[in-house]
Amino acid sequence: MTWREIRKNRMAYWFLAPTVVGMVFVHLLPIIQGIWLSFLASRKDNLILYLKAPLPDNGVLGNYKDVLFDPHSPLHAGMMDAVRNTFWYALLVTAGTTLAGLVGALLLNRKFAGRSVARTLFLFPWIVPTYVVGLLWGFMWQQENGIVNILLHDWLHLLPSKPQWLLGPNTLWAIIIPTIWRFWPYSMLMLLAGLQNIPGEVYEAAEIDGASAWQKFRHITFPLLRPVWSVLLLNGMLFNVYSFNIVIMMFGNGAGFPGKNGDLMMTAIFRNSFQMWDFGHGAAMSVLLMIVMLSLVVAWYRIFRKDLGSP
Amino acid sequence: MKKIRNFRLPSALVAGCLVLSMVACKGGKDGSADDSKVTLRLWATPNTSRPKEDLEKLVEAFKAKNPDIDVQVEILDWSAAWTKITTAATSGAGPDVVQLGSTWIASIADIGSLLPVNDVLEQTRKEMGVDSPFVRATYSYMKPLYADSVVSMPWLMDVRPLFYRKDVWQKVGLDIKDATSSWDKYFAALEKIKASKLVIEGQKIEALGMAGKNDWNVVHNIYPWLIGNGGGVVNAEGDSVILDGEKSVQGVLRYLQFIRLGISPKAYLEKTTAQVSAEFDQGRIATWQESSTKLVYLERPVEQGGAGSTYAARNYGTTLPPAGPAGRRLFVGGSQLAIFRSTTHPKEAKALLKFLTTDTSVVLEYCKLSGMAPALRSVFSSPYFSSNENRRLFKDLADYGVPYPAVPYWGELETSILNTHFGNILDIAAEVNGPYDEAKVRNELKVAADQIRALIKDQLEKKPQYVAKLQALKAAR
Repeated sequence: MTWREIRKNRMAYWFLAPTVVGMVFVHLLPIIQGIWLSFLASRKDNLILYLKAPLPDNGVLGNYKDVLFDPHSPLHAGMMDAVRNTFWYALLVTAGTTLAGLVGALLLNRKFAGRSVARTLFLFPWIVPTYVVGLLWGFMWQQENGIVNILLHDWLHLLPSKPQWLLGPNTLWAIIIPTIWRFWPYSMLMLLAGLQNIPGEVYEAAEIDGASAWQKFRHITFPLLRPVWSVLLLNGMLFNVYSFNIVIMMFGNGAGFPGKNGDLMMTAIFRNSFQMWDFGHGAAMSVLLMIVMLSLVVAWYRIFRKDLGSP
Repeated sequence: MKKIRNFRLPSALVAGCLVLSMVACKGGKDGSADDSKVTLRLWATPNTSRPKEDLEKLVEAFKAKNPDIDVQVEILDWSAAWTKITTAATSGAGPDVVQLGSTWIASIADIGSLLPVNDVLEQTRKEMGVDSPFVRATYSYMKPLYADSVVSMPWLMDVRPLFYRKDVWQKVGLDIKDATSSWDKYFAALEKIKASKLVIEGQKIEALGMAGKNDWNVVHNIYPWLIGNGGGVVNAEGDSVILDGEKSVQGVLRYLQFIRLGISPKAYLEKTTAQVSAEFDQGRIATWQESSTKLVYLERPVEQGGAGSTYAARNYGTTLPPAGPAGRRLFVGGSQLAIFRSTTHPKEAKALLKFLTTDTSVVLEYCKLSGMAPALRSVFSSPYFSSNENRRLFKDLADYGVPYPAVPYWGELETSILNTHFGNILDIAAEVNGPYDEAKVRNELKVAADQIRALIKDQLEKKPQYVAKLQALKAAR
């Protein structure tokens, strides 16, 4: 880019400037502060020092060593459970919301009476705040009186007995299903917009060639929706790994510990860092998570950059 | 020129408004309109059903006695209180007087943000003519282990009677007073209730209700079983861990026995205290331990949001929780009042602190509104407590109360370590990840104990003043 080109587009730069300044203050500076904090022994008794807190006794990387290797650190002890749960949670919620969104979008892309009403109704879960979702589903999962077990066991007789959803391995499902319920309308909306951008002539040509419904989906719909898939994948990955509200509201009205099977990265970091006033270790764990997420975003960009129109 | 003239009047009006607003901004000592008045800010958590109105009404008498002092009441939600208070403590931008949960005191005092109030305590002792005007259990929270001064005054106490259904215990032919004289008798009695398979008013009766890990009472529920068996989490000085000692382990195992043998249904383990409490109100539970505030709810008519006329409310009684092998040692919590060091009106703040915590009629009135027990001993002699069958118990509950060790790291220890491992232990008892295995319980306690040891070691290494204080404490004992 030459100086002449910059001068030519200077008005555009002026328009961009407020956003850049905002991004620096809202994103960049807090990130730098967080990284800096991860090298400090920032605790309750020296909070007033903030970024001038002393270094950890075991060196500048002390917080990272504790989080990764110290078996007596509560952050380390619960980390493997939280990593495993977060992996499955993010994977299954992303897959579930995308699949449910696709089914919803394909249904709503057809012309039928009351389509507008159906579109509005389908969006309903998305307007319910996540903390309300967490609270409500917390009641719905109750073993004896919860509507889920009443439906599955008492009315539909699908289960031989009423399972416990809020304890043990089922806990993961108890947080995955409400999250899918909350977020699938977003996927549906995105995919519906994508479907409506596919020209009808393409399908007509395929029909003339004798393509089946599956072949049309496989060879037209699926590949042409690739830019939408890419955005949904990125969104799902980021939102779900950093998920917090639904879990904390379902289990957090007291101890804030959803158990080994439901603890996610964010709830683990919150409990062991914020509630302990141990910001150094919390920042270290957050930076580690950020590095992992950054790598995934880079990988995502490499895979999908052509779909996004990037050279 | 004419255009400029047209702007003269509006400009003059704007300027006039600005001058007036600047005059209005110049207020009293704290920005209040009245120059002669001192305004105190009081932060409190919701203790009654109408927290702000009730507390404001309570301080009216103080304001009448002290016309130069105004009190602004601000209510903090329990869930946000810890964060707001610690932020205020570290930033120095807090209120004058603050309500603190008793287990928070040592932690906040450790930051150095609480004003010493030894003089308030001394004055109270002198005026009342007694050396111990407050319940014994509150003294460690007034002057935490590593603090040099008295930093708070006790206000309200969270005591937890055993609520029981008189009709159920009678039908099974059991005397609850006798049954609670020891853990063995208590266990046998509850087993008998379970075996009787009673159905009353169409409700199957469970012998006992115990909430699970999705609750803020996890540690409060299990702790009495540790200390009742002669164990605990840490020793009295808070520098040695006894959680994985045999007495503590056996205490936990006794607690779990109620779940394992179905005396308290496993389904209750996914419920909170409020949810199991509702089961009691609906007549499904024979025995249930909860904060004394439940009495207010059981006495309040249904149309006012209580459970007043329900079958359970007509047939309940209260008694002391069971005594363990090491004696009757009960959980006791509650709230203290303290003054932030940042206050600019220490004299007035101390006057308010003294008024709220040592004026018998004020404390009594607030206990009536909140349903909690007083920390001020003289209040127990009021007919409100002494002539009521259920509330008469409060004094004993308070006297049997054993506070948590008032060490600055208790908050971290309880929140992060105990909640997690006790939660895992409850999962083991619920058999959600396979059959019950005592070795797994012992392992959880061992891991928790090791984490607490690491925490204490870290604290003592970083704060040499703790070590000196500890040595002095041990020498004194």
